[in-house]
Amino acid sequence: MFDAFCTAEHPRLVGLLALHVGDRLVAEELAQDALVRLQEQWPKVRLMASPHAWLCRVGVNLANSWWRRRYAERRAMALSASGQRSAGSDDAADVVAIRTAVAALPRRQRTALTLRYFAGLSVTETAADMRCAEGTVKSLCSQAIAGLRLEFLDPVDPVDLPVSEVPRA
Amino acid sequence: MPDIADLLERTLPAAAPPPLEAVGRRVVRRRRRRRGAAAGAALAVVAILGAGVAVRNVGESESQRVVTSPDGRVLTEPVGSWRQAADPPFGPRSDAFTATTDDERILVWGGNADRGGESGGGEQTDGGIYDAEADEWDTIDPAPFPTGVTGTGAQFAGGRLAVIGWLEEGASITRYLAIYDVEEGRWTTVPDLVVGGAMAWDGTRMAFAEIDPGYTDETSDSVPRTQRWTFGDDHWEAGAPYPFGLQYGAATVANTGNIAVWGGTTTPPPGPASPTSPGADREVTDAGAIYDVAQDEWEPIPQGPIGPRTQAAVLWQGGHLVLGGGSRQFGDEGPPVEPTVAVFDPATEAWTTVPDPPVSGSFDLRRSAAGVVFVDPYEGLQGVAFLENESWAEPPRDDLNDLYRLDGLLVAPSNRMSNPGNRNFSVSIRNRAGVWLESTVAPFHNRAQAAIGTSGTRMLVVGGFGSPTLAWAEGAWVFDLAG
Repeated sequence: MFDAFCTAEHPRLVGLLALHVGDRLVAEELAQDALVRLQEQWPKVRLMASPHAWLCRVGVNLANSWWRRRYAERRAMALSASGQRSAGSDDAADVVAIRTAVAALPRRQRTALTLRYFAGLSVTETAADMRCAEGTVKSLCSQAIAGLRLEFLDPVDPVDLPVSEVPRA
Repeated sequence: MPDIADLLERTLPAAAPPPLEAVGRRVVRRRRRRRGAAAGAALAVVAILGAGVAVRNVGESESQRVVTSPDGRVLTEPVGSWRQAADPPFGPRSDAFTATTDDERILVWGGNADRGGESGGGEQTDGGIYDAEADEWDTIDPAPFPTGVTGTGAQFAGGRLAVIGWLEEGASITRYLAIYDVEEGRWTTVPDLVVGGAMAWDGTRMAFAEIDPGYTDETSDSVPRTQRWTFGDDHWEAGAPYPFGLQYGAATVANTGNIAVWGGTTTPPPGPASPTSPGADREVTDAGAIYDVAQDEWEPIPQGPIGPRTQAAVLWQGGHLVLGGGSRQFGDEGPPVEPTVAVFDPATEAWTTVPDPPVSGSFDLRRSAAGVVFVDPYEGLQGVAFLENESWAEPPRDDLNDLYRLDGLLVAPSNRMSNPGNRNFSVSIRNRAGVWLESTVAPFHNRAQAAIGTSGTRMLVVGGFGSPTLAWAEGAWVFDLAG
């Protein structure tokens, strides 16, 4: 059950963390950190209403932690330097651009946006994770989307465009 | 927002198998370390009974004098070698700050050289950077501070040394800040700082948080203040507001990326403090928060298992916040110190309690080496612990004063005032839980309050007070564990 859960969750966890740190390799290292915590606490976590929400929260906390992030960056650099993995070169330029723009958002905006619209948490779950009111989550998401317009999607308003028409970086 | 989810979805990586093997290995290693900690506790009794024998292990004969290091390397005692280092480019001093640079050199800065009767408080603002491989020093010129600063502090991160000096004139404190770039070899002055408190420096950004203004300021209209400065800017900016009010006697600690504040007493609403016992009518709190310097945000710490405390001991350890000691009630005649310690992990937002530390009475918590917490009691015995194991792994030892890492091993130099028998300087090397080796004895008398820096297998000892007269010690020495 643990393996199946990890297999199902891993891509989205890496994607979520890549949106937070703007770097796929660092995200993979942080995801591994989160899975270590998950395995250690699996007997408790598997009984939770949403193990997915727990894993997302721990991953985001790790990404937000300067220390953990720095360790993950070092490990990612070491792996990259040792040639064990390519430096994320398989990510398309537009994917990198989206991650960079999201990672540049203020932390709480980024957390609300990614938990809500990428991790698929409900407003209630996101608010519980962020220990804030549901209205705050909505407000942070609106601010984040407005920030993306300014930082990434301007001058066109791609939020209202089909995804295929999003300007490429 | 019909498309924002689709936009983000485009960044979803292709499905790849999770690194379950690596995760499993890491979990096993962490469990193994915990078991090692438990074994270390069992070794305590043996080690105490065998006082004077540094190398001892359960199941081994007393004559067993060869042990294996954690990485499989055989160590025999005495270990290591000593050599005199090139003379440092600064005068004798005590308690200088040390750090290891990115290119594995040892930076030494500041310290105190108060000889009595001289002008100023003896605080030094110069230093040097020692290359143990080449046995050479680079000079750090004095910081651009006025002469006679009465206190200093330093943090090193990102190749830059951030230093603070202050001048106290009556109740007023003037603070001076500067950054030394190791690569460029020059100082940059930082704009004037208004607030005091804990300093965090990550190599690019600096922050101060003044949540506890001190009891001398308790009748003023102080409010919690945070200030942040980014390298290259010509001014400080107000940081994010602290989510609570002033907390007098709060446990406050900073590392290179965060400032943590917890506990203390709150201002009673309304009215001034009791004139006979300032603060006695204040409520002890367990409120706290962690400030992220890069993000300029305070994140409240959820309530934990140890309850409200004031004057608690605190430190950062491997990304975890360790809190302990303190009292449930304010006042000099208050209840005894609470012995309990708890650990907060900001990642999981979870608290973990650990057994009571092996000390009695008041104690401090000091991070002296990665993965190890050194308990520094004001009275009673001393001890060390491996925090990630969530238990006290070592027997109490009254001859440990400080801890460092050398080549992955934990080492404790005899850098202390008390030196019965006028012994020479030495280093205890922890081979594994409860098993300590002694270094070859140094060819110089023991020192107290020397600056200790490490790089790879080498330890630099510079300055301090020499035994037995506690006179200023000249010169520097290098201990090489691999020698």
